[in-house]
Amino acid sequence: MSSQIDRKQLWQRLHQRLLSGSSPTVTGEIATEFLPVIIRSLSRVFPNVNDPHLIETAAEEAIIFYLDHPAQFDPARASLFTYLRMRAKGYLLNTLGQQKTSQGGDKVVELDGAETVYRVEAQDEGDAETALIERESQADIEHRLSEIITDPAEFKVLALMLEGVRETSTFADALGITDQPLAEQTRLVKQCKDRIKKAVQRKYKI
Amino acid sequence: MTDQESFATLANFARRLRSDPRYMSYVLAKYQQQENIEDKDLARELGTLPALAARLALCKRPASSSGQFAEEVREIADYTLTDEAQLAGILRQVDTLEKLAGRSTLLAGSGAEEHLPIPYAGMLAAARDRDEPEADESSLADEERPEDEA
Repeated sequence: MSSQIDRKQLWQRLHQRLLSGSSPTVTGEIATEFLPVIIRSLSRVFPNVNDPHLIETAAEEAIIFYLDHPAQFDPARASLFTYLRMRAKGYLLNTLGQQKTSQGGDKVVELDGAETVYRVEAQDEGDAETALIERESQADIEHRLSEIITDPAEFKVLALMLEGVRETSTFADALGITDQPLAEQTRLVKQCKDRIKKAVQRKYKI
Repeated sequence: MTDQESFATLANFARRLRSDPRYMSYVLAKYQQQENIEDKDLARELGTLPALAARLALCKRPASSSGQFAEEVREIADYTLTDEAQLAGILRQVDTLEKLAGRSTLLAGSGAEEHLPIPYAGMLAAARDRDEPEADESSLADEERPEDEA
């Protein structure tokens, strides 16, 4: 349960950073956090959708809309995951409805950009567990990099970098240098980050 | 969803953003065009993992004219474990060539190119020139980096 709370706090922070427009990495963090799990969640809800690209496209549409209009998400009404999944579901249903109509089937049910679904299902947090993700992608990256960054403290710094953490104090804590003067902490943290990046470059650069 | 599927999902999304100049995906696509780098070689060119190259493409594009440019490039470099000097170079190269191409297009419509001292096409070609020794680029990047080896 606590990890679920942590996750929701992370989502809140991502949302605030996106709203503030001050972080160039937050769009990547949001896509990495949500896109694979929304696709997975919708694939479970719509197992009979023959073309998996429809689900993928719907999830992408939801993310793009949110990145362009973050203020339309109201954190008081639902978690970010629920909001994005509902938007994606709305896009998917519209697409499926349009396909059905073009094939002579029933009339399309317009969902107005999933807003209706969002209202109806805003409180449905059951699937939020889906997003307490199995963050395989991150785990895989960390696993591969653990062969290069073998020092445990430096590896903590690496993991924080991959999470988009910026606060020097967090890195200083990971390195166990919080007793140092602030300027020295800043210097040592930067030195450690540069050392990590250089080690990765040495391994992977052409 | 496996690691590979997650990566493919993010890579597909990044490809979709290639036409949006607000994203690094656009910058990287332009850079790949200019330097003739194939998708499969991009991560190695950047010296990072393919999954992190996909993340990089999903980041917002720092404006090279912004006072925050250096800080934003550093933030992206930290998040994707890439070299900030190389990233800054890529951004500036793409910006410069876009500006030149834009001016060239404008001038082509006005007939003013006749008065230019250097043909823009030649400038573009010179800016794209990859025949120079690559070591120059990396050594320059190294010079810009702080001493950080223990």
